[in-house]
Amino acid sequence: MCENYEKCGLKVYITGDGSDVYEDKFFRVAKSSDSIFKPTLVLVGIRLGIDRVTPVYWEALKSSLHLPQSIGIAG
Amino acid sequence: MSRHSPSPAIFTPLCKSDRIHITMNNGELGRYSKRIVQYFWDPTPKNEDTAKIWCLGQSYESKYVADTDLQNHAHGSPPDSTVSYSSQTSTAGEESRSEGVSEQGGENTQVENADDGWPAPFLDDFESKIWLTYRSNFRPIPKSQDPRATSAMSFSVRLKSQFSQDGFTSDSGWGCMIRSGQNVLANTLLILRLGRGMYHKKKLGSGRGD
Repeated sequence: MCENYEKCGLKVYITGDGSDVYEDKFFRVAKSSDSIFKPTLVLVGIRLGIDRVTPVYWEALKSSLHLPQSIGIAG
Repeated sequence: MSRHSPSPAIFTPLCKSDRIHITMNNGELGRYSKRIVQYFWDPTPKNEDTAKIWCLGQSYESKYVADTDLQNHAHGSPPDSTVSYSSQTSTAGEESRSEGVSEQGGENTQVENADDGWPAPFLDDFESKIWLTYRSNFRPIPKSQDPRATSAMSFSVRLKSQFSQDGFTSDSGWGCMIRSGQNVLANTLLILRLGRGMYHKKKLGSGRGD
């Protein structure tokens, strides 16, 4: 959707099923039209557990949501 | 409920020649029972924790004062009791804040624990966020003719689809991922265009918040 509406000024980088963010892929999205870095939404796909969130992940998850750059979690 | 026990199965005969076998697995049964309870009793969430409240990178002091802390303060017990309550729920950063809690008198509680215990600046921030949720009574989306479609549906969606022949007129049961994705995008665009500090005030004609 963001690709179709360039005027919104937002690029979106999706990691897919994995949770790894690759620098080269990210920059290809962020600088796609004219080599100028655009605001880019990073969507990280993660599996936090099977029928509940695995407790060992709690603190890391909370800390990532504290980041000022965080726009939250969906799922 | 054991993971290995047989899944409960429900048979719904629509007509003599058309018997549908709908099976729930154990995970779905647990979630479904919870949803049934929530249908009848779904109170507004209250803040009953002294830990900091976070809203997309911005933190707010909880200001929740437990009833036990109030009583202790009224009877003049040492501040240590207040400190020990806070430290159960929070990280090291909270210790200094709990001194402030013990200094506030009982008179402040009524104000602090109003709005179900949520601090006003947090509510201003939270209520400024775009919230896209389930819709109903829209033009029917026809059901897929693909034979694999039925097995891809969850139990509740499958059950609902049995009763409506035209298709889906509500996205309950399958809309959550779409709506949460829309929320993420909408709020990101909001922050991008208007910045993080933009709050919607309740009164008409108010401009930006702090």
